Amino acid sequence: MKKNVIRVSIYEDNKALRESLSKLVETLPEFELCKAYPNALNIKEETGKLIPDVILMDIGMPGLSGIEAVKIVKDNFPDVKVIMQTVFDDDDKVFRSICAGAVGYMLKKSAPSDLIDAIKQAACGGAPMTPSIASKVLHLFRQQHIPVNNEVELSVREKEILTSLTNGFSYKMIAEKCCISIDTVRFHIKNIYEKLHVHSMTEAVSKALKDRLI
Amino acid sequence: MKCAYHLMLFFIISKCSLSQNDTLFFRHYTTDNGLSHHNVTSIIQDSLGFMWYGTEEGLNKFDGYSFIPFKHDSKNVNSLVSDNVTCLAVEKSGIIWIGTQNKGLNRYNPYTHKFDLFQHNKNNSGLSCNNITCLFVDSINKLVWIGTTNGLNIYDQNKKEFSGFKHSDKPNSIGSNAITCIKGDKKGRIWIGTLNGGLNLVSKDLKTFKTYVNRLSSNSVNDLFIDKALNVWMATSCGLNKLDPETDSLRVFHHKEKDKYSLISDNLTSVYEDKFGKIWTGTAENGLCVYYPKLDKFFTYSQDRDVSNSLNSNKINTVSQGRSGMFWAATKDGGLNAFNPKTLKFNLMSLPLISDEKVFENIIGVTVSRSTVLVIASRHQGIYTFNLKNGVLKKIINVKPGEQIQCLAPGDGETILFSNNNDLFKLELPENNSNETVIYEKIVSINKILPQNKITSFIADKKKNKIIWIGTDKNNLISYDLTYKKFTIYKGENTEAGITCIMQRKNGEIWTGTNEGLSKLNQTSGKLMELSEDFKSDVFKNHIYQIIEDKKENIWITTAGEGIIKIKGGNKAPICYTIRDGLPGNTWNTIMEDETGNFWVGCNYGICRLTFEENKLIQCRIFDRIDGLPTTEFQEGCACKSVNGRFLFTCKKGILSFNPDSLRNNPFKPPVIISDFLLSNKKIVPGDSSGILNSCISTTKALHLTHNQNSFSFEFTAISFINAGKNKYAYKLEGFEKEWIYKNAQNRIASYTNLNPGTYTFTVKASNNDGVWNDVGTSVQIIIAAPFWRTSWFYISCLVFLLACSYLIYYIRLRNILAMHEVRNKISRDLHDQIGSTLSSISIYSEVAKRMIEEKAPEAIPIMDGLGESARSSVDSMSDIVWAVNSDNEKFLNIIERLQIIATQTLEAKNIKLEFDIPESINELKLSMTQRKNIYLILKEAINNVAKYSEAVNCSIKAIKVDKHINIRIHDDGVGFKEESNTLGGNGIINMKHRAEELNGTLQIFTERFKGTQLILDFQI
Repeated sequence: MKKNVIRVSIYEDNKALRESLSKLVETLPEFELCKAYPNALNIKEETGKLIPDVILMDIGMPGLSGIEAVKIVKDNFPDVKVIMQTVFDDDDKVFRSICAGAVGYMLKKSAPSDLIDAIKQAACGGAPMTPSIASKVLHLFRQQHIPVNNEVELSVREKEILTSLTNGFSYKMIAEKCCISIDTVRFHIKNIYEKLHVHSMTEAVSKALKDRLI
Repeated sequence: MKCAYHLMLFFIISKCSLSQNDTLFFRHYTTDNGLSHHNVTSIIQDSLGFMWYGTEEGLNKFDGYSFIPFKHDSKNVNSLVSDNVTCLAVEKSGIIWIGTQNKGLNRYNPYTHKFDLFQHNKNNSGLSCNNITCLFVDSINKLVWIGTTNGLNIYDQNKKEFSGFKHSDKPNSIGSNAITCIKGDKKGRIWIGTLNGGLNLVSKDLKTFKTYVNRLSSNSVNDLFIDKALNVWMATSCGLNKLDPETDSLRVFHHKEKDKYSLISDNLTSVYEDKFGKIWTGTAENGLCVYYPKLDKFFTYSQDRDVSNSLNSNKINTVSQGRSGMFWAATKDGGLNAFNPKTLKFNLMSLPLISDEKVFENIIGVTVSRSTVLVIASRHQGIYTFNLKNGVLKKIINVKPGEQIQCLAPGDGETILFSNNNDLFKLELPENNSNETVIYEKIVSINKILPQNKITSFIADKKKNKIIWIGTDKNNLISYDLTYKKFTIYKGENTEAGITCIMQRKNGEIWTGTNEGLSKLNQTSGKLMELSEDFKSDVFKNHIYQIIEDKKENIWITTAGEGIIKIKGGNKAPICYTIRDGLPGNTWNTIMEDETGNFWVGCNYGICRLTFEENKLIQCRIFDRIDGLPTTEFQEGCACKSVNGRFLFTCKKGILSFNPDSLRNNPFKPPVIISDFLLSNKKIVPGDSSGILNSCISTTKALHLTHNQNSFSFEFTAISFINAGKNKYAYKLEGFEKEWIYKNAQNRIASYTNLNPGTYTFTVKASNNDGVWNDVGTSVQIIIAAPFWRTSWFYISCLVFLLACSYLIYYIRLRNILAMHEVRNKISRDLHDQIGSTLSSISIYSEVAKRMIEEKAPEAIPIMDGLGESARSSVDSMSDIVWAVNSDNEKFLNIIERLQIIATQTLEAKNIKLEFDIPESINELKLSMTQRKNIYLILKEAINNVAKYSEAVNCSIKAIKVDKHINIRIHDDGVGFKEESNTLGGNGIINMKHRAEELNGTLQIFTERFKGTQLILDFQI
């Protein structure tokens, strides 16, 4: 279900990148730029005022960090999709931001076309994920000591997909392997994210997170 | 010169009595020795063994070496109440009771050093009188009997109260109030002597008295004593009384003018029975008189101003005997006289002079003939006979002026040989000591055999009758046959030396000593062989005085300068005994062996008895004046064996006769006590400021000291009064010293300084004057507490502290390193972030620009793409570096994870399947920054090459571990490439090889056209 125009907000403290991203969004007819901000200090008002569909969020910003900003957005505007942006793909912060409510993340060095795809996916409810993030998610589920009710357990398929991701398969290869479509794969991944969000709200999990990530 | 004609009698020593003569050796202790006053009234010995003496001016304690005075101190209430001590008594606990002349009774506690006072007070509840005359401790009933000039008192130790008895007219009362003496016997009877009241016996209930008056020689009993047979001996001013209470028979002893074995005087002051059963009485004016019950005779010892070791006063106050046997006589004006009844008896026969001749100035030989006559040869005077039985000295041969007698020796049978320088004579004493003239005849003249030789020595051959061996001053030995008047001359090698002595061994060998060596006669070769060469020793090159052979056929030689030499068996290496072995000197004259194998030598210290065990000198016992020798100058005399095993030694004063077997060692093993403890040279007493001692050091078992009280000394003393100066001591501080330290009696102190904390035991033991050790000794434990900085607690806590410190240092360092890592990481990340973002923006701009111009200038599209690519690949490289720097990525696993991302991007696009086969052990391997960077970049380049050029379908990355090597293989089933064309891939392969070298490893490429490519990276970890 494609919307007609996807409204995008950008939060990025690097001036050159902020302006280039803005330019990119503006150039593309599918997107509409709401506003680009250098920091997320007033993200609540800004989001409330403009109500974008997708927010591109830099993780490392002065003042309020990207992860906290994601939380604020998710708490107040649950329909807004947040994609994290980072230079580093091994950053634990990415994982935490997903637990905080981001739907995906992009490496800044990705080709712009990939970035455009990711925004589109996120807007449609997808969840772009890379293998290293996936393996981290798997570890989290393996390491949990507290019995959780079935709702938040990963299903067999979901585990399978995660494992495949860990082993280096792309979405396409997973789809082939599991004999499902890529969209199904994406759907599973989204569910995985959802489960993470449930997790993240449980006290026990945040404790386990703390133990693991600090 | 005064002619002192002493005719000494002597009895043969028998087992039950001592030989009596006037020369009992008394040792004097006067004010010169530290005694506080010459009028000594009382003697006791306490439980530790110390002697206490009461005098007119104070109480004295004697430890064998010195007197410690106790006097009245008007400033100290706890001191002796009066210096005028009349009587003493001691309890088993060590408490001493002291009676004074007119100030009452003191009780002294040696542990607290305090005197308690008991005096007569007008309430009549205490002492009846302050003039204490006598004391007696009844330990069984715990009563102390106190005699005063005005009544008898009893102190009950349990009830701590006095009760008294006074004379009254009632029957069964005590005979008089003037008590003189109190004694108890083994049966528990208490006997009391009084003035004018005779002897009194207390009844068992202590209420009545049985009086013995009018039967005794006097009703005033001065002193009484109960002997072993429970007879009561009483000394009165009118004789000695002996009462047998069982039979009620009385015997009185008086002085009898005509009987020299009677009491010397009737005026007796004291009576005492000694350990041997003899009864000693002290007289008021005539010294000591001792009664031998078995002989029923009295012998007197009185003061003789000419004899230095006789009694120094005839006014005896009291007599007593110590536990070691020492006998003490307290006098009125001579202090103390002590003698050891076991004193070895030497009889010195001072021979009377005949006219003015000085017989003993130069005695050159003695021998005993016809068993009763001593033949003495005096060099310038002549030859004398001394009748050992009747003491008559007779000159039998005169010396012509200008001549001298050279030597004397026994010949065959009863003949005696003597010579002057040239002529050898023989004489024979008449039998039966008749007064016939002594016949002598000349045997041979030397100048006829060996001109220019003088006779120096000769002996009669014991094996062959009638052969005489004569030595000359030119080292010639002549063997003269009396029968055939033939001679043989044996020459010695050293003609400068003269023969000093000749000895014939049991096996007939003849040995000669000269003034420069020792020789043995070899009859077959006819030569006198110098033994210095035989034995390869120079010890014989000295003046040899005498050679003897002992019962075990060892040869003993006395020398001038080399001490005494023993040649075992006559052929073993000589052993010298000198000052180093304990002898008092190195020059010795006569030597004789006794029946028990001891050797006797005369020296200028007295007579020495040497005891050897194996080859070691174990005792050198010198008998001197203290042992009874009247003189000690025996270094120039002669000696011979007499009848009955007695030895005779000559000296300038006469001839000493003694029986060596009777001179046994003093067997008393003296107990030793620690008398003082000094801390840093300051005496510590119980109750003083240091607080170390609770009771006196003699009875203290353990001392607790702090760490700075580690310099201290002990003074000790042995309770053996017999010649205490010759006692020896040995002490050892266990824990500090391994060996015993030996000291003599003058140095009775052991000092230790700066001892380490710990537990030590100080043990001291003593030997008596004859070297008999009491190995039990006495010990005290010393515990020096460690200062806190030396305790184990302190060490442990120090150790813990050090460990904590080192851990802290380690922790801080670690934190700093981690912090540094953090900082490094952060810097690289910040850098990456900033630059990465900016480069990304270039990539995006290029995309935007591409879209803007894609219609207008399509040829610019690839340029824009290229722009974007460059930007992105810069970010990539930077990202790789940041990744490698990050210490979180140290595991091999992290490399694989990162490669997977690359692989997904590059290989998947070309439909190349990628498989990883990495064992867990390699995955967990930790790598350094350089290693991770290089491995990653090599593999990344390899994957890129596979993606770009291989056209493969499958690609696999495998890793195995072989010993210390890691082996990574990248395989693809593609088209391969020609290895020669290194330019393929440009610098890629060269770079990879460089990186492999940096890893200390190798990179091998196996490729064949159409057969795939395999890269093997091998490196060491």
